[in-house]
Amino acid sequence: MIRHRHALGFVAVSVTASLALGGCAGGADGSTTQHAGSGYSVTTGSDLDAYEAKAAGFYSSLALEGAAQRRTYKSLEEGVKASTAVVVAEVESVGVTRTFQGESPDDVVRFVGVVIKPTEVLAGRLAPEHSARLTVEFVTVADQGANLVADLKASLPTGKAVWLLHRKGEGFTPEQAAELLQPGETAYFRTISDQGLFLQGKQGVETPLTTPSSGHDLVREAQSYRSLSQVSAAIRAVR
Amino acid sequence: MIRWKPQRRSSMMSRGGVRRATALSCVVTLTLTLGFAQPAHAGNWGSVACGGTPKRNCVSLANNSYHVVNWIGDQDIPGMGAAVNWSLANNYNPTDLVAYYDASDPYPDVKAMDEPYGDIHLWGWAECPTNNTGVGGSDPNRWCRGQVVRFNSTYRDDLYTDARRRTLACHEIAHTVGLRHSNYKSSCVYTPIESSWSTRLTTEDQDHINSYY
Repeated sequence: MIRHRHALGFVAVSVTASLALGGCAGGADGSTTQHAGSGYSVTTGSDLDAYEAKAAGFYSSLALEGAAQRRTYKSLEEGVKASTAVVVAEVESVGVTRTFQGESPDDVVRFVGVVIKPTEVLAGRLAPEHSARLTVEFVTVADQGANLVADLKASLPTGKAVWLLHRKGEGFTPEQAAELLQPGETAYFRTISDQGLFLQGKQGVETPLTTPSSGHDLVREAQSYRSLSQVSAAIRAVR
Repeated sequence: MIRWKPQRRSSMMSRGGVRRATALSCVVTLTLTLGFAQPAHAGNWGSVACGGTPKRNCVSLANNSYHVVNWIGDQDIPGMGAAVNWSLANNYNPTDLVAYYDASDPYPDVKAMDEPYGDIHLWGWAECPTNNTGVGGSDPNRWCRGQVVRFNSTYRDDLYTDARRRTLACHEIAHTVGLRHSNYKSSCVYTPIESSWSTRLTTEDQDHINSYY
């Protein structure tokens, strides 16, 4: 049975974290949205295609080998269409967003939020409150959160990446959301799956959240592009 | 129904003999480190770190051939506990592991639990937590006792058949005995899960287990 007391299980980690992640919370408006091609300049190849050696390490620290992904996507087109928005973005900061405390004292899950600044919406739409910055949440294991954040802060990438984003709670009915989602969760985004992040690698496009055993078609398709600008062009062309 | 192999049951598990458990753990560590001939594994075998600091493993080996799972807390996903039991009995106990559910074991090899962790695109994951009851070795032979397997009840509606729950149970337990994701669709550790929903380990998966434990 789902217990509403879990609502109390989430605690804000610190005021500092909240301030650091300021601007990530969704507003009530949402009547207009920032969609592909409006308000952003098209990202040029020189912006996107620069290889940054440390970036893959930063992102792969957020991967969870062994996790059972709810859904994976067979093609770039399928992944793009499943996304709330696909954006080119820079990482601004990172922090612990929430802590889940289950019924057992052992059951603690911390979430790390990566605050990104979209520079172009390649596909889909972003609500106005997320057009300047938004927070993408990741699950961390055990009590790794604080230490992981310290590591991540020390290795923030400076370049851009392509994010296939899903607004948390999208697709849930109001009844489901009330029962199954956690308070405040819908303020955040996640990647569509471990397939949802593309990075410029030395030899071509990389998917740093996937593991070698991830044999997904979308991943293979993304990795077949030599540059982020090429895969971005393919994403813009998805209708 | 779980098929018992009582003749191989470790008394330390049921009696909670922590000192003996610790001593045995040390022996096992030493044995794994120095003694056992390490078979040449390939494919989807071996412990893997999740990344970050301090190092935590998302795929770990078990510390010995007795693999006891205890369910912690209530069940949010109807039938999930039964699926864990089924998988232990039908996938793992038939191997060289002695794998079973024991609700009375205060120091199980694996604690299983389900909670509404949220819209995180994960049905479940395994980890070696901070408060493990023993850890040793190095990847790909890093073992962990007191591992945690989490099932995400936010997506409980996806897990509407026995087959789906058994697949997920088999998948996450696999990560607690050293199996990584498989490239074989007939394996429960195949990814993407939704394209196979296999409830069973393959012969290759079982061979990995049998050659180590």
